[in-house]
Amino acid sequence: MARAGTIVRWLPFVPGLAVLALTGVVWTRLRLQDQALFAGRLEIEQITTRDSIASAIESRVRSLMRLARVFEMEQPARRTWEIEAAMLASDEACQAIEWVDPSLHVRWVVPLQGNEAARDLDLGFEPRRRAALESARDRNAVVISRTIELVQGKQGFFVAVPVYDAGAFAGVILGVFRISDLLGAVLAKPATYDYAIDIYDGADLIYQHRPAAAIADADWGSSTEVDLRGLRWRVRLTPSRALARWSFATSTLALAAGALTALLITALGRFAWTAHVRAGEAEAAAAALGTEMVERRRAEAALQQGRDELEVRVSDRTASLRAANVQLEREIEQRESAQEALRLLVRELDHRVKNTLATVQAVAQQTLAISGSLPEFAAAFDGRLAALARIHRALAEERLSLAKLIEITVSPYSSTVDGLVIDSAPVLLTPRAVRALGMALHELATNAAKYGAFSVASGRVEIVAVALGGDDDRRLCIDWRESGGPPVASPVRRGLGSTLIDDALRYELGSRAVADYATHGVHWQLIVPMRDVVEEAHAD
Amino acid sequence: MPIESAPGLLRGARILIVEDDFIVAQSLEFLLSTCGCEVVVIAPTAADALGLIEKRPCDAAILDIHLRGGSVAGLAEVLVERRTPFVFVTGYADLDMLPESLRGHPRLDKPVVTETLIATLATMLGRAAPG
Repeated sequence: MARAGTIVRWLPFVPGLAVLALTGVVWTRLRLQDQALFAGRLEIEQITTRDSIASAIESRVRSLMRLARVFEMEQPARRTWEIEAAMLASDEACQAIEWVDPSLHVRWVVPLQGNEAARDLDLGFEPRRRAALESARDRNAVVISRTIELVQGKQGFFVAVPVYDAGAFAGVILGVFRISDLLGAVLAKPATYDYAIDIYDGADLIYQHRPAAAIADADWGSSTEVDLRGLRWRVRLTPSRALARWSFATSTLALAAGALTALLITALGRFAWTAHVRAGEAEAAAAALGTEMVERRRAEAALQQGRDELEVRVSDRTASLRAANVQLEREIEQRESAQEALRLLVRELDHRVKNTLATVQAVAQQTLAISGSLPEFAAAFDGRLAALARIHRALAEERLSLAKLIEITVSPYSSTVDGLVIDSAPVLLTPRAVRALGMALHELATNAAKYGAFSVASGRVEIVAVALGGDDDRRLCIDWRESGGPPVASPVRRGLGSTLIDDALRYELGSRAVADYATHGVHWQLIVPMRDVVEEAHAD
Repeated sequence: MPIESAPGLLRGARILIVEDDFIVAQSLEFLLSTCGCEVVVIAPTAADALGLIEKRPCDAAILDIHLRGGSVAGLAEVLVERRTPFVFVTGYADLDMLPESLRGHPRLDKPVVTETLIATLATMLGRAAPG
């Protein structure tokens, strides 16, 4: 797997490498071709240069040979020869045309001007000159000398053409040339711009040409030889750096283009591969992301659902807790209010008991004060306590009507059923009124029992209660009429009963009590303001 | 009779009784009269009591705390202003219905023990208690 992966990873480089290999092959071929072309060009230049030099010198040799033939055939006068020689000497590279006698002394010189030093010069003074001249004389052939320092200055050489007169050596016709002028004229061609030219005579550098441009390394140069009638010059050509470089432009360009192409292809392949891989990765990532998003959405939905459920549950629970709490608070409130009511009730009970005891105490003291004897006290006290007890019991049981109060307090003293007649308006009494009126009725009843209508069987008491007056002045009028009893005498001593009836009613209810002690029966009239008595205006 | 055993400790004193229960009020009035008090007046309400002391000032007062027709507190404050001593008589176990300033005054529970009431009044009037 990893191996396959490695191979696949290197796949994008394959086209690039292939192009690079192809480029290598092409480059090698082109290089060889360039080399061949360059070599050919150099060779052509060498040949051209060599031939130019050879032909330039050979043409001069031929001219001199013609002059020598003329000299041989005609034995010209000096003047004539000088005219002929002067034509040859007009050559710009020619230093002088001379006739050298067999003793190797220069005899004739054209032109004379500038060559004064050469006249009558013994040329045997110097080995190269001597060797060249003797070689020409001996072989009877044209000889070109090695490079010599001209007596007129500068480097030069001479062409020696032997002259024989009827088989006798008659001297030598000599053409003296300045090398630099000769070669400068011959080689002054546009082609020479591209090459450095060095010409050697043996080891001596006799000519040097340099183009304007820089010269390539010596390796690029090439040499050839020029054969000048036995004299050998070596000609060396070295191309300029620009020429050397441009000669290989094709292969270099091909190499560069190939390498660039390979690079581009590789980059392209790499890019395509990377893009492909990235696309794959992106696709995978997108797929993974899609899956993840779907899962996350699902998880979020589940979470949300869970939250919702939890919220519902919490709110349900909260609601039920709140309801329970409200219920509990209500119960606590109810219990508290019940406890408060109970506490108030107990307090009220305590108060009532104590007030009642105070009342009992007072009743006892008053009864004692007016009693003549202990039995009398006991009877009166018992009766009053019993009346109080009845009143309290009635109060505890219900809201008392006036009729009921009268019945409770008065009927126990009536000896017969017919002895008591009650005709009362429907009036409900306040507890205070119940007690005050109750005690008053009790006193009236006990007085009736002792002295009045209730003391005899035929006696009779009629009680009538009516409401009188307008809204501002509503009052209850209770008439107590006795009849059938013993004759009434106005009381000598006002007993407790009278005191209670009169004072107590006024004191406690703001009412009036009026007594009429008529002979046929006592008549009491109790007038009580309705507002102090009545709890409700209508009752059963 | 027990009442007559009370000596003339309160002789000449003017006493106001504010009590809405007539029997109790009258009983106290009778009791104090027998003890030598010069004048004893009874009133069922604070308003009646105020009317009475306007006419004739009293030396001391007995006040039932729980009266019909309103609290006795206003009357008590008037008495404090007049420097008239008084004693509360109540059937209630506590003094919740009284303002804080009035709770320092003497208080007797119902039913009142006669000797205690007489001694308290004597002390308030600056007269030496017996024994």
